[in-house]
Amino acid sequence: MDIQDKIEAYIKNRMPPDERTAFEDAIGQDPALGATVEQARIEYEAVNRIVEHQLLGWMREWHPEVEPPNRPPLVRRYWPAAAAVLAVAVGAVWFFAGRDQPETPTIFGREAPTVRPTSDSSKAVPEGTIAVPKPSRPNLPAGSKRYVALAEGRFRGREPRSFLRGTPSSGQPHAPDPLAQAVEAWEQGNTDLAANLAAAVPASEERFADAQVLLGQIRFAQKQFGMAEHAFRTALGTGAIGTDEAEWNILLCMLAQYPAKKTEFDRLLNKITDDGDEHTYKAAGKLLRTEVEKGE
Amino acid sequence: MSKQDPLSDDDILLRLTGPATDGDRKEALRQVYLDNDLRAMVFAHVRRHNGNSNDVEEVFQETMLVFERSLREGRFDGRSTWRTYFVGIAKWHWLNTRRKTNRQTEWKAEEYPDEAAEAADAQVLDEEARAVLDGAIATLGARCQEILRLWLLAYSPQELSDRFGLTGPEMAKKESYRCRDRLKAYFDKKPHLRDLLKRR
Repeated sequence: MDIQDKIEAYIKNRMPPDERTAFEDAIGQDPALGATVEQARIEYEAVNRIVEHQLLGWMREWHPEVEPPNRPPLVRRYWPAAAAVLAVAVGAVWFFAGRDQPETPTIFGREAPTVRPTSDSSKAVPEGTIAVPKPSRPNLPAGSKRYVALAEGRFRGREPRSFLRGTPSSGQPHAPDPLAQAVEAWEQGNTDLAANLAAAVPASEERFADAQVLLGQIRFAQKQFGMAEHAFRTALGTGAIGTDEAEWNILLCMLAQYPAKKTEFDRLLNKITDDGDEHTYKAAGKLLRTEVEKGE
Repeated sequence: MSKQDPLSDDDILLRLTGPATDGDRKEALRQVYLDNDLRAMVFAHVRRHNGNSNDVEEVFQETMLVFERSLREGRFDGRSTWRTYFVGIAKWHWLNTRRKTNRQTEWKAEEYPDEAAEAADAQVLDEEARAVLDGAIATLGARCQEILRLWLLAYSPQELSDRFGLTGPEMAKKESYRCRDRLKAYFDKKPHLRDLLKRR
């Protein structure tokens, strides 16, 4: 077994215990070996993120199948039968009460809206109304509402179409482009689909950073602030986007999770307001601090 | 085996601890992710300890990542069932999250009996470290990412060679070293990021 194989076995936790102890002794006595192992560990952590991204993608794919945990078991078990009974009952009411009704259907005396299909064939939206996507995670603690409102009022989002700048014109109009599809879905109000598409842009893709910023904006709009923060951090980590705007948005994600994220929020706010290089949001940060302190 | 056929707990364990195809791993993880009993236990614990529904989902997803990695790396010692281990990771993760965010925590030792689960959760990287690592892997091409992913999942050099049409296992090893060299080069150019990861 050469030294590379040994290091690999060590960091993958596949070395027998006695050999492991001996190897750790060797690391302690040889700083160069220690540095090599540390580098290998960092590489291993990076590769582990590839596997994590795969699993995160799978979980997004499976999530629609998750059953709400607090749904009463009887309803869950017997819902098909309950739905059938309800359908029969509604049909009976319609049959007996509906014969003398005018041709235009009404709901409590008002004309019922016609229904048009949306891009998501499983949903339908009444004509003349705007489809407002239901936030997937609306259950915010009551105490945080003020901070959420503060964060939302100061959030700097890009126009959806701006994410399409620099899109390669391949001459293949039907080639799938997840980022363009995500923008389109977002504009149509289908935020879950938009988030899934933005998240599907691989890290190897040139526009990965933009896709993560878009994902952050979508998650923020959905009030999924922890996930929004992660997306903005990922975008920032690529080094391919402006630091100031990304830091500001991360700060607002933390504010929306206040006071749970108070420590991290304070640290980043201090960095922004004490930035000697004149952070773009330095003044805004100072104002924000005053606003936050008013509520404490 | 179709998606509708539930795997036994032993099958799930086997697929997540030993060599398995992507399809087999995926199906095992899907059944863990959709397991109503596991979800109910994590849900009850997090809600009982001041968590909201956002927290429950976040804890469950994080637990999936830690659980998958721990089994893959052979850190699950089998002294409890994998279900107990999973819930133990979730409990430790939620406790540590509350500690990190200064939320009120109460400690009852009997609720946290699984020391192995504590050790597993201790490996969790924070968001900043993850963002740095994501930046590093973003510089790799899709081929390198896939080679390294399979290397991590303990595919043999021969299997890598077959999958990527290489001339043999030695060439596969060279390819994986070459891809890891690209990661090293990234951190050589940005030593401050390497230092940031070293401190953890």
